[in-house]
Amino acid sequence: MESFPIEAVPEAGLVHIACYTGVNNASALKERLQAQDKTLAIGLVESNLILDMFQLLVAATKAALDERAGKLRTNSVNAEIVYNLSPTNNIAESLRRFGISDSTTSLMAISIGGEAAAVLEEMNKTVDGTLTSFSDLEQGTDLATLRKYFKIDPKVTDKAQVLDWIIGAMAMKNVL
Amino acid sequence: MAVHQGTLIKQGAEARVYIAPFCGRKAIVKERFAKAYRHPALDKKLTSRRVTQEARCLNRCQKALIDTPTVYMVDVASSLIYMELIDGLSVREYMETDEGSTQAARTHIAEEIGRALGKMHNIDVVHGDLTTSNLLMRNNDSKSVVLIDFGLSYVSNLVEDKAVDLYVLERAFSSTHPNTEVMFEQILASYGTSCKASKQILKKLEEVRLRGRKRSMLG
Amino acid sequence: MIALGLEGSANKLGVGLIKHDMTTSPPTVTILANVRHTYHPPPGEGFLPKDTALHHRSHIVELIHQALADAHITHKDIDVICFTKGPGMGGPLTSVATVARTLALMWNKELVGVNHCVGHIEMGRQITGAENPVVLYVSGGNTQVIAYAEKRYRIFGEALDIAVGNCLDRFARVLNLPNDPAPGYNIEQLAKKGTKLLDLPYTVKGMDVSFSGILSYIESNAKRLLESGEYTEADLCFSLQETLFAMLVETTERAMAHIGSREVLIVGGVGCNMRLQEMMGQMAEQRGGKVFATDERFCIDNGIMIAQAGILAYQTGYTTPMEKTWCTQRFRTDEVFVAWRD
Repeated sequence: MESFPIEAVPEAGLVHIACYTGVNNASALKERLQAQDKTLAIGLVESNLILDMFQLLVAATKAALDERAGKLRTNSVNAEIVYNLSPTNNIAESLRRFGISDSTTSLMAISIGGEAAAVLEEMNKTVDGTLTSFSDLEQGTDLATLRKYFKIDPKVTDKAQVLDWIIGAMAMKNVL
Repeated sequence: MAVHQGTLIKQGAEARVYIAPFCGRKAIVKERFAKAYRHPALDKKLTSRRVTQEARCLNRCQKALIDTPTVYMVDVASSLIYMELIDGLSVREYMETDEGSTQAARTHIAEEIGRALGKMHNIDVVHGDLTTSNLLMRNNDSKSVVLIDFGLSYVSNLVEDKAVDLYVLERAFSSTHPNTEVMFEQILASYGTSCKASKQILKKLEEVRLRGRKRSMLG
Repeated sequence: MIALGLEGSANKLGVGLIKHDMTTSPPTVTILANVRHTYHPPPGEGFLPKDTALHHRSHIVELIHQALADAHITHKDIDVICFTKGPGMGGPLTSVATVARTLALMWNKELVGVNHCVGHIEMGRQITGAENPVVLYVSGGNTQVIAYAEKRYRIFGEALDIAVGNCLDRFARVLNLPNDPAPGYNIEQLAKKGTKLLDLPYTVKGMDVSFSGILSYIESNAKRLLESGEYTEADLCFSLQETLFAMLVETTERAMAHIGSREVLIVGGVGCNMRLQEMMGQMAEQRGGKVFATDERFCIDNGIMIAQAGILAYQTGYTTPMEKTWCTQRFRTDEVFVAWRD
């Protein structure tokens, strides 16, 4: 697990991200995520849609910001992170697409605030899988799906530009 | 509200610009602040309108593959926009360097500016504040011109608005960089080849210029 | 060295006498006389060139006599006669220039044709001591944000359609406010009682502004807003001023930021407005800068400013030969070569 500062909302504490492979209880976790179960203390993300850690950190920062402003669209800050990863305002669709599915075996668990050790314990308790590192997951990015979800221009091929496009679309979602 | 861990790099007329850490990167944070001289209701309306307009126009440009900073996050409540930090000098600064004073460099800048503006007008984005301080030279091999500071930008398909956009730049050019008429002609030439409606817009520009002279009719 | 200044480009006729004592460095400047007579059309009407020219012709001789009397000098003491060459209304300009030419021939004096806008700027600098300010020039016919660079007063921003003073005047006509002492003055007084801000079009393009949207909005909605009791006349005046002046202050500030100046000088008839001066002051304070403004003696068109700009040019050896003393309605501020500044 890695922990990062949320520079734009420092009072929210750190954001903790852990990667798991060989996950066995995806189906049950998916149900809880999509129901925005408040007892689910972590966000769960389909790891093959994460091109770069930056994407996840931006989603977490936005969630922390909206929580502070009392403007969360979902029931919890952790579900909000998953929702923020998507370019659309449709909550159910966003959680379905960027959250995990029944067949998920690799996922990323994410949580804002709290002590790292306690958070990791909670994550390990929730996810039945093997803890791994982000670099081991990276190869599995599903670019075709990302391109479809974000309607990325075919002329944009460079990884950094693809990421810019995704971040730009995420940023615009709460701008009326 | 201060930007956390931010280093102030520019105190503009209505925004402070910081470099601040953001999600592990260095980002530009643009903070609009209240203007004491403005009626509070008017101030609030203008500020939030401009924050969203700016983000929206930047994103519209990005989607049209026009070189602009990527918007990372918009915090309307605090009037903040987090965006990509571009490495490079402003065209204004660059033109004052030895390299930027050469004929070849200026021709290149002019072509780049014309192309960028042409593409921007193709998607109906009107910048609203084109000056040589609001154009950056990306510090890489491409030396492409990056359009920044969309604080006064808006979406419009009117030929008039696009012509005025060019007129604003023309005057910024002549007042900031005397004796650059040739360069501005090169910008317009390049604009002419990249902007679809350039014929009408350039014709309108002539009209706007004349109006500018007529405007001082009365004492 | 003494200069006579004659101004009549719009509805004010002004005669001024200024003295530059050249034995000191810089010269010691004394205002010997500054007299004015204003043509007021009836309420609800603007001033027409023909009537204004007639007014000027009728009053100029008595004003010159009065100026000489105020200054306790005779025409023999005058070194140069300065007149407004433009910009302005053709008829009124010509009527005053004709008098300037006549006096020059009668008294055997040199002539200097002066740009009206430059007159405002030079008088403002002289009175306030502002060294190198961004100048906001706001009057019935002009709205310009100006800064000096390389021997020219360069126009950084301006109104893309109608001038701010014109917008105020025409708004005053909608409300049928009197033209005496000035429509803008009456709006200013009424605005002090206004409290409710009406959302008006706000159009700023870079350093340029546009007021026609506001005017047409007011022209087509004022009646309805007043009759429904939603807004009072005072509220409309208040809203108009708050919006117009916010646009002016915003573009002035942008010019200051662009060229890195901390000083701002307001000139022109609208520049007397205390609310505009107050807003400009708040802006300048927020930037750690300073605002300079003059009162109605110098802000409103006057003869002394023409004498001042003329005498500065005259000191550099500039004169206008008789065959070039024609007037021009169009005369850009940046056309003047400012030989007297570094």
